[in-house]
Amino acid sequence: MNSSNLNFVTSNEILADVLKIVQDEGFKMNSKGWYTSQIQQGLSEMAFDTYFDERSESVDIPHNCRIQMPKGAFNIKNLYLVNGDDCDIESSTPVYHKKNFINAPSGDGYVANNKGDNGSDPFHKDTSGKGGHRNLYYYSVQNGEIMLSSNCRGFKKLFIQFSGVGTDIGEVPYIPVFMRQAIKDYVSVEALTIKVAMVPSSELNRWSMLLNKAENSLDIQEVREGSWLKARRRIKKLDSKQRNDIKERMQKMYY
Amino acid sequence: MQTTLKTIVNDISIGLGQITDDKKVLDIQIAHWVIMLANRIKSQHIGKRDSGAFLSIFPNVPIQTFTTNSGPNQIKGRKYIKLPACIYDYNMDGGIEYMSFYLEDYEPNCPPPFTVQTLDRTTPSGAQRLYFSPYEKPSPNNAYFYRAGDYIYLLGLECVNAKSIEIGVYASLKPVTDPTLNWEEPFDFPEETIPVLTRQVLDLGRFILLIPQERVNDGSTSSTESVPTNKIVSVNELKEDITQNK
Repeated sequence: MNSSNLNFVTSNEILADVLKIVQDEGFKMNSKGWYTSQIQQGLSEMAFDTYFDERSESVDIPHNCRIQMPKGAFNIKNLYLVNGDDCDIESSTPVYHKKNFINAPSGDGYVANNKGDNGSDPFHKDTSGKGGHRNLYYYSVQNGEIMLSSNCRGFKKLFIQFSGVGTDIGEVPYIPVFMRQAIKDYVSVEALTIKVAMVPSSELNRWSMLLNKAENSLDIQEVREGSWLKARRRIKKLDSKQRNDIKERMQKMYY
Repeated sequence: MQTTLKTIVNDISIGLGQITDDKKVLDIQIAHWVIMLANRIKSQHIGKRDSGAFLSIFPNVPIQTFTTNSGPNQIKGRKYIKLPACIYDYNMDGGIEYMSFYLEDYEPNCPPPFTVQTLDRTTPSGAQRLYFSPYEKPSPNNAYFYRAGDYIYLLGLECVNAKSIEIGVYASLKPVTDPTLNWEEPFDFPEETIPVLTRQVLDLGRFILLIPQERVNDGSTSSTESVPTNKIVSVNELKEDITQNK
């Protein structure tokens, strides 16, 4: 399946359809902000399921070797230490994950179950005499902070490749066109749920029927083949070029 | 040519036989009945259909701020507009169809402000929830209004220099006590429901004219009515006493 960078729809285009379905064109029932928030939440749900939102970011390495995970990041895919800048990377090397690694707040020294120099530890082999971990660069994440080993200071920047939440909270959402129907259904279901709770009993049947229709169309439980499942399948089918296109587009939007 | 209030009142006067000099029901009374019942029918009519036939747009209502707290609903320091007309009290302030604001730096080539710079409805108690979400937090991009009586307070426009508001409302009919009411002007009422209105006013008029004279309190019966002067003794009480004495 091919797609282009321009194949994104705005939140307004989603709203143009949803507001007709839920008959709230004058925002009498919910504010525009509420609908936009639902679009963002729908995108995030899809991002958690599919990792469609691939992003990267480079940040300067501070002296204490602790870096806050980028906004909207929930899954680190790769870390690289880089010299140079974003336009001209002179050298780079990967950073490896180390279990139970926590560095000191100053960045000097750390604790970990396996530090290489393990002496007579019966569970962790002493590898200090064989080079061990000393030539490696490693990291761990705790409470949203990326903690780097002190030897990472030899590089200028940390390049982070991660999965994003679709749209950062508070940002205006842009929706890949192949998940348009899924997001439309997602927002419709949320809005119609409120509508059903609010309407008088004389209108309940009509709105309940519409809610059922929207729920079936979305089918977020993926019992049948609803728009949610279709969107997930489409994302899986994306070729690498297309994934890169989306990535590029996302990066242009946020950074 | 739309029907006027005068036409309807004259029609009903003839229907009730109130056309002579000594008529019992004055035209102003009939006009009050007409407006009273017309408001009911018109509000139902608007509620049933999606139409702009009875939408009243006021394009330049000035934004003001009270300098003191005085009386109910007049709150110092908050931006507000005064409702430009009495409106029907539909659910969720449905009497207000829309509101938008104008800024000084409006570009003529941009979309009309009433399509983009709109205000959504909220309530004083519901306003706090809006601040919980970055998407809904009141701001010039997310402006809100809430109604307190005749005043519409604005939320999110505190830091911008908005001068006036465009507001579209479903206005109720002017009462007979309004000095600006013109009987000769077209009556702002759905033409197709005038027969219903006429019938309802005639029914009301006939009922009132049928009220018999003796039901009117002229004070003549109070002087002849006998007022008991002796102690009233219950018959039941007596019987009980007899039983207990046995």
